[in-house]
Amino acid sequence: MTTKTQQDVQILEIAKEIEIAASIDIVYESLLEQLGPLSETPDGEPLLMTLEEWPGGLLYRDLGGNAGWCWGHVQVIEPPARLEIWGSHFMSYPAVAHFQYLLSERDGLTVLKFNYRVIGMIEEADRVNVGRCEFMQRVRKMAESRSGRK
Amino acid sequence: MSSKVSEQAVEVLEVTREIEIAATIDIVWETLLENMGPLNESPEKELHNLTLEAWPGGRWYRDLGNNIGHWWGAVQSIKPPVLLEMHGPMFMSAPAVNHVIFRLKEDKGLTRIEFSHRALGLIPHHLLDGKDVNKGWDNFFVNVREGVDERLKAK
Repeated sequence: MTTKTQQDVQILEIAKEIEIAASIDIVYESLLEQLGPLSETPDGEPLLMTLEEWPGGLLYRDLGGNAGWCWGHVQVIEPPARLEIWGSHFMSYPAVAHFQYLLSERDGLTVLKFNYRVIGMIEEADRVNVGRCEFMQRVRKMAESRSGRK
Repeated sequence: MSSKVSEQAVEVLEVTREIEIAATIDIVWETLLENMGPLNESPEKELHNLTLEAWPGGRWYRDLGNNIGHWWGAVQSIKPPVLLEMHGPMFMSAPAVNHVIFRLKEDKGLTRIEFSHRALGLIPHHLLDGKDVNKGWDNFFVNVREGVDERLKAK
């Protein structure tokens, strides 16, 4: 049976900007690590992520033995200023997500801007959970501890 | 941090073309692939440095060297010389899905290309009127025609 309906779609938008006391190269490096092998849930459980650092590369949870979740593809990669990911993220329903990280230097600090937008049939629980992400703070903590500036 | 959830009608963009070229389907196909790949350029004649991996799931991306670049999408279907479909974000830095399809048919030495590029999602506002996208595909098909002519002359 095929059911065809027409409905408005949900849109989730998150925008965040933080300043980090570290060079742009260190922040970029920390960002990649936090998106990849050091990625974890808000409860501190490793997500076992791999980020293939090239155009079209995969961002995926690698559970070994070809088991896992593909979260998306690298849409834009311009180190150390820009990284964009496009794909389903963790959403097991028809939706497309776009993550954008923009880095720039200002007054000896690195400004990290994050824009995250999703369009589709977004489930209620995820509309809240995504917004709780502590990811940016982890990037800041790692970058500042590496640069020894804080 | 700002975070919001809203509901709205989805934005759609659609560009279609039907082109006839006086050449065999194989010559048109070859020229088409070249123009989707290394010869692809902006209407201002700047090369996009595109690579098209011509197999199912192959990447279509701007290769700026040293693993830097922009991924435009993946080959959704490829059946030389009659069908090519691409699926991905293309040049939209946004949660938007693009689908590009070329269907080729030959009849007595004349090849017809049926083309459409459709997008759905949060399409960037500067692209919504379709002007730039149309301009890009106009330039693309002019280049395909010229490329076919050059191939025929070279034979």
